[in-house]
Amino acid sequence: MRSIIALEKKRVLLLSTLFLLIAALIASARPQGGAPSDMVLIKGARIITMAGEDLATGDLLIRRGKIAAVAERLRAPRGIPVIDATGKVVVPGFIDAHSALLLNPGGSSGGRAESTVLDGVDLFAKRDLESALSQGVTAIHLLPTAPYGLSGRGAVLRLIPDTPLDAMVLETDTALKASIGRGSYGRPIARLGELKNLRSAFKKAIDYRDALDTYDEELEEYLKKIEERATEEEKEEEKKDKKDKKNGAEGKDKKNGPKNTAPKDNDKPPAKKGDKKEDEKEEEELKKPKKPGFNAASAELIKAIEGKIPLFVEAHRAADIVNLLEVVEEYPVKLVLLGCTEGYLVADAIADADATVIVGPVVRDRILENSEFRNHKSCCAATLVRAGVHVVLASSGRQPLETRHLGLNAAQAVAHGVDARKALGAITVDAARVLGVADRIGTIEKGKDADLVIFDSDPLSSSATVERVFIQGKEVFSLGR
Amino acid sequence: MRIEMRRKRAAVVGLLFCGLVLGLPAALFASDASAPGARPAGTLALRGAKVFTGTGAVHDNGVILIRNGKIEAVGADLNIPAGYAVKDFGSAMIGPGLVDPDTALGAGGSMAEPVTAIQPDASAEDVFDRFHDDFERALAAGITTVLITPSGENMVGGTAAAVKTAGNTLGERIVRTSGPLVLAIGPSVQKRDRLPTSQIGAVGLIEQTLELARSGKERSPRLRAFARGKLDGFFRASRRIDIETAINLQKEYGLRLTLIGVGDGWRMMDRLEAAGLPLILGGYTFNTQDKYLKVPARARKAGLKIAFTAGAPHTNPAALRTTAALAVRHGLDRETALKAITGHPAEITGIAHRVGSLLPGKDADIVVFSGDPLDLSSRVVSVYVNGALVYAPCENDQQTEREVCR
Repeated sequence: MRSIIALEKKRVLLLSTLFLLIAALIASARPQGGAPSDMVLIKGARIITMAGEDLATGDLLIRRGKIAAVAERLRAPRGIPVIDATGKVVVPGFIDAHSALLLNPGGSSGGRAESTVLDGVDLFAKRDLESALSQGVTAIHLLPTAPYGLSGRGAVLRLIPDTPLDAMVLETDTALKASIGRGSYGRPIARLGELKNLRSAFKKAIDYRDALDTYDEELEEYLKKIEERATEEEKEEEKKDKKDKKNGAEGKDKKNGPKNTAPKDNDKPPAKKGDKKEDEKEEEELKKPKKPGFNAASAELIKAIEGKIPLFVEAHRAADIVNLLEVVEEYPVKLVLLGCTEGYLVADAIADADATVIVGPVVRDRILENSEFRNHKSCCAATLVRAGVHVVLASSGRQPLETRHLGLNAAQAVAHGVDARKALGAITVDAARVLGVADRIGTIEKGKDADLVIFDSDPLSSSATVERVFIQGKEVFSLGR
Repeated sequence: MRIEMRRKRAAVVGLLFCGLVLGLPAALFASDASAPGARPAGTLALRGAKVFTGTGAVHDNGVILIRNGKIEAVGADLNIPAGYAVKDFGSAMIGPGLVDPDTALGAGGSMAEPVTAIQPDASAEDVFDRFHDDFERALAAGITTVLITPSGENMVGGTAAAVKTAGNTLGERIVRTSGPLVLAIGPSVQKRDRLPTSQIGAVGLIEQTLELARSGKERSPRLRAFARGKLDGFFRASRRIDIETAINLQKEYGLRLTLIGVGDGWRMMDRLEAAGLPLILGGYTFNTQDKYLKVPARARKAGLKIAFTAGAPHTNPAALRTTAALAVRHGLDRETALKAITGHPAEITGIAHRVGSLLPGKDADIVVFSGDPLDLSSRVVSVYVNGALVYAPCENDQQTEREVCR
């Protein structure tokens, strides 16, 4: 009796688990199922495109993760989900051009020129990621956090939750990061040392490149020589053959002999006058050139020196900035300055050097005397803009959570003299441009990735609320979900 | 030997201290106290698209009439009497000067006396250096009145002083002396070389002190007044256990208390609601976690009075407005956020009869913002203290923020 009851219980249990399983399956399947799920229409919103004109009210069609159309009125294909965004504001997802989100504080502080920041990403900082999404940030640029020297390459990530790193990476090798000054708070000798180290790294890299170039040339010469000699030998052989033919059977043995130089030389001790010179030359030049040993750091830095990968340098004091401009002056370096606290003092020099500046927080909340930031001024960004410098705003890669308030950071820039449109551009289209991803994100245009944010009001206002966030057309955040 | 040295040191410090406490204020106030804000500023009318009073009212096309450094009238489209100098700020939003109830501005260093943890007779006004650079940064942030508060390293740190951030004479600057008594409990008050050295010792010591004070055996009149609920106090408490202790003491002795910090408040909101004490919160930065940023909205819902602080000078005074803006981003209504940086801190610190709102008879401490002060895209256009223009950044903002163009 008991066993029967037990069995019955088991059956009930089994059935109910099965039922639950099926229910769960159905539930999980639902969001993917339904009509053409790769399309969404956002209707009636104010659309800030960051590419030409905005739309006071307009519609936006997302198809297969891309923006398929933006216009004042679009007709929705039947059956696709429509989001009524009347009275809302749609903007491109914010891009933090220098973030520390997902970087364990200190976790990636080491590093050498050849390292990549992707090795330091902590995907378990999920709450931070979601918090950033909830404030409208959809992409971040990560850089190694070491406060001095060359510290490695950066990468742009999309903030897609619950996704393996590979799928989040939008672009790798976006920057080679260096810092000067920050490792030497208040110590002039250390400061000089850092500059010297950077200079010598440049010199080393250039020497390395030159050595490689010389090697290439020598190798080419060497190969050419070998070839020349081979043809010469052939000629000689032909001559000899002719001679041999004249002389008769004596030479026939030689014809089949190995084509080796040494015995051949020995074979003709009473050589002609012209031949002797050539022989000497051959002997001294036919050493195979030696390839210089591989130097990963120099190999990486030379790319930056040649402008193949942008060089991002964190520098705060005016003297450091000027010194840095001098170091890179004669090379086609694509220079991007990070932080640039005292940049307002040397704005014209920065403009002349055509460098981009990623201004750290517009208003620094701690200004300690004797630190790199002691001369911080909130008008730095505005002064740089006025001088004609390309300015991008970022959280400055110090504290992970600062990334999420990128919008308010831009608002502060407006308060301190940056045009509102420019400030919004500095966290969207201009950020995308300096990171080399402007072909995919940063604006709302046909063909761009659908990385979008729907705000309930002006995105720079403190009371603005993010209602929905899309990345590649997929909703990754929704208010109250 | 060592003990003797320490005694000597204590004696010297004590003497110095007594000298400061007794001598200085007497000397200072004898000369100045007669004329608070008496510098004749004549008459002036300010106009702006919006004027908010700090008490909840907002006047469109507002006009503020000022006479002799005091507010004469505030309202929408007021008639400006003849002879008044008129300054029209166009689309600006004008309001009372901001008030920060917890700073160490102008104190030029430590606000803690390291020898003993109970310092009821220390007074913040004695270390108020009115020429300190700090005040210019505060002005640039639109802050016109601050409370200088003893630090949280002593259990009873002394009384706070309310001072203005601009003004020429000490009389113009001082708003309240012997202000709220500042207390603290938590790891910061525990030292290795003086009592208390432990949490249990700290609670014991504060209870003993209050008990003595209530029974009249305590020497310090301030402590006696405080223990009987006649002098208001600020209590710094951050951890759950410390907040509990503060609330229990408040109940037991009927203290008039405001809580500062309440870091763990996010996980004991019901307890705070039951206690009903005002809270001083902040300063928040972009790096502050969401759970803290939601506290103001939750406290408001619980019916608690809240005021914000920037935490200056350890942080940039501009963080006061950032703190309010972040609270708004995380659910606080704008009206309360505005009150929390004007009217509320003035009420909590007992200076609401002079500052914190734009009502007739109050000091003419006024900030002109380019837009809504809670939007970080607005900037401070002009600051008036006692009716006099004391801060106006250069038109193109290119000059340093410290430079004042009049």
